[in-house]
Amino acid sequence: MASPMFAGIRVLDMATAGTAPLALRWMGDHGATVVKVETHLRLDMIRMGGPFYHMVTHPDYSGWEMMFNSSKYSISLNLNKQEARDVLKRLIAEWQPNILAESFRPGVMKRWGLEYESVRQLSPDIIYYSTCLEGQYGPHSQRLGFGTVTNSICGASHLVGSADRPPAGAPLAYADFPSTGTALVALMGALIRQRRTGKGVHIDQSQYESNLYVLSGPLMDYAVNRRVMTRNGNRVPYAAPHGVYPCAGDDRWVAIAVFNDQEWERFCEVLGSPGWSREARFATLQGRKSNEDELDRHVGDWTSGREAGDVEALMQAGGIAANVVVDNKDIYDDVQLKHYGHFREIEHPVVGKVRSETPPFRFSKSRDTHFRAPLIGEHNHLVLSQFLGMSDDEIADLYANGAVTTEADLPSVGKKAD
Amino acid sequence: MQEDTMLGGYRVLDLTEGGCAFGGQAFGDLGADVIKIEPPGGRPSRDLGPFYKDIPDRNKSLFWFAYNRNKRGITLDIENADGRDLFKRLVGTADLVLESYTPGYLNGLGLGYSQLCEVKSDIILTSITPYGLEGPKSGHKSSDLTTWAASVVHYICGDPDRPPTWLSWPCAGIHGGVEAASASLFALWHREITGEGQHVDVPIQPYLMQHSTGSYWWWECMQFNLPRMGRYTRYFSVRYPYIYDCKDGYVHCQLGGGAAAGVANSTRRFVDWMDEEGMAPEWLKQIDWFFGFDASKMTADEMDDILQPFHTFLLTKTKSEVSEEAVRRSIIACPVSDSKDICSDRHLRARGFWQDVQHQELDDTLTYCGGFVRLSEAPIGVRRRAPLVGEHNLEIYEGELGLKRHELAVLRQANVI
Repeated sequence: MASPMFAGIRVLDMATAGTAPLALRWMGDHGATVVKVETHLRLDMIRMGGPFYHMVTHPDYSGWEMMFNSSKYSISLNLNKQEARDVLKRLIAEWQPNILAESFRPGVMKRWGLEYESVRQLSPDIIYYSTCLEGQYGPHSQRLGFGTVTNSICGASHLVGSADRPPAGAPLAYADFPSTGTALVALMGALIRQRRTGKGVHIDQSQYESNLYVLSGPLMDYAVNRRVMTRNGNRVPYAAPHGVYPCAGDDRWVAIAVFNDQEWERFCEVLGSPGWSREARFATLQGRKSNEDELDRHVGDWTSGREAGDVEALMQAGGIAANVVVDNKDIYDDVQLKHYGHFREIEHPVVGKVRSETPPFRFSKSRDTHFRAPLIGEHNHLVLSQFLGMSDDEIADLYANGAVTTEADLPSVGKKAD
Repeated sequence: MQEDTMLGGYRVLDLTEGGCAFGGQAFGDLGADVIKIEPPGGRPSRDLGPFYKDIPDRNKSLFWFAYNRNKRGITLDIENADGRDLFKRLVGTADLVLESYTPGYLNGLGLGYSQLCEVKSDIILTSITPYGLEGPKSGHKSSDLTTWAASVVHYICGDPDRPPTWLSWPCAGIHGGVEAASASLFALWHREITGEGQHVDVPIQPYLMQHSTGSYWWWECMQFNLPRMGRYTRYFSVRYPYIYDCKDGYVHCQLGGGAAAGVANSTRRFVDWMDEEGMAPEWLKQIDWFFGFDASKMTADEMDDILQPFHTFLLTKTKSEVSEEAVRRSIIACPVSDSKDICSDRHLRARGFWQDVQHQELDDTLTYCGGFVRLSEAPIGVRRRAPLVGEHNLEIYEGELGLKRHELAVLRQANVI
């Protein structure tokens, strides 16, 4: 077996929350050595904001940690201490990471003497990746927020829900992920350029801007035609039926999309050509669009007694696009994900068995090297002794002066109950 | 001198449809030479609206403009034998082929990965599909909406008392496009190191799942099927909104506190703002948002009572006022922006986000989104607008492949180009 794709690539991940960590995790999944720099004093919302195993609200029991920070090493530093910043500077100068990622409010890294200009003195070809809500400069660069705030400012929240209601908002931290994807594209472009030219770069990611490519059609529609797009359930102007229909059981749904007259005829056959489907007003796309409420009601009447999976199968047999609206439980039984081994059972020292996630894309000539998420500070000794060659005495000093944080530094909400 | 770009010198053949075209555009944004290959007459996604001045025309789709800039465009019928030969000649000049056809389609034409390798041994072929190239559902019929449905994110999106909804705009393909760009760059990196190309399988489903913020991890950890919450945050039995009505629309305000220290501090500062305008009742000012606010111990009525002054206050404020004060006072809040708000946002203007692009064929200048990130070197720029149907046929077939004009005429008459 060939060596992993990113063998020898080193990444210093100082970022929190979702956007940067997930992009860097996928690099770690393919062999990059990713060192997560975190602290017990102010826990990453990933360690405290999501679901916990065994109902234990402790940073090592976090499910989100498995999702965002698998295939990484963790060190815990209190960067408000000079000694900790010195460790970080030594890591930059001596370990020579290809990439440094940070997601602090603009200005924090500068206060620590760790902004791009200083860091490139230590490592001239470094790729320095900053990510925050609205970017490093501009009148709103200091806006506080996280993924759900990005949802709203980038236009996504406005487009979720029904026309007759206030916006329902995009779910959880949806808008973190378009930023993950574009960050990964930029990081990979920078890594390839770094290898070809020996040059580094500062990537300034405004997660707001990084989301706008998703809606660039509607944005151009406003810029050119002065039309403001609004939410409209599951409908599109060029297909009907096109929506989500109720099925047997509690909160069970199937999504169905019928685009043209040929598909409409096949769709009607799947339904057994009921009388209403032969009415002239449903015969053309324009007719179906004009009578869409009624159409949706008929379709919903047909689906509502049936199992969602059965409707999907019947539609597929008739050549109609359909899929169960997969819920949080269904996804673990998804036949495609099973085929790809997307969820992989691995052992975690504190939690036990974890159904961890492998990267979504697959390579014909490279296998992933996915491994479990680290405990907080798990690799302090490894990183300090092996990457920096520190002696046990030097390391003990860092613990003693609080530069390295430990379980004792956890805020009360993060402490394990006895 | 050659312009300094991230990916200058690489060539990409882009056969993708719909939003997946963003994958090729990301390469173009980073400086690669991207050639969009369309069937004679143009790709179907040219028929997707909205259209320039609402004129439905294959050269006026704003959807097309938005996802095909920084590309050149040629027409080529790869279902025809002559067309396939021309395609293979192009593959010989390329580093990467991006496609989003039904699984097996290119194989059926004799243009699968192994056949492309015969033309260029280190070629990278990236295939974007809803479910993946293999597996029991790989051949399933799908649409943007059904891909959304397959990926959990649909289930948790929308009002709790209504069916799940999507983002009112087909974006599963767009997310697939960015996934394909990332994965292709992984493969390009692998080729830089090892010299070998490969076939990259880019299923949208497991990528789009991530956009649920891993809501299914609640099932993995706690056997809890996280429901749709709409514009509410739910704490145990009570729920409270994070989207509020304001004077001219809606604003997003993260209120509350308890263990979430950032939110507690933000809410305190919010109350200070209300107080300055004489709209904070005395009891509200007494709340200790860090230690004295525990949503898990509150009834729905108690929560409503606490939030009422915020509702009243916000109705006196515009989106823009909330936006500016939130930044000034370090309050976690922002407008619930629509496309007009985004296009007129002073922050984006100050950052020079928008890019004006000349459209000579329309005798007009259109405003495009700028780069998806800012780069201190090798910047992203809009170097060319999206191609018209077959716009670069002559430049590429004659200028680069050396075809004679009379040969091109034959190919045109046979509807190959």
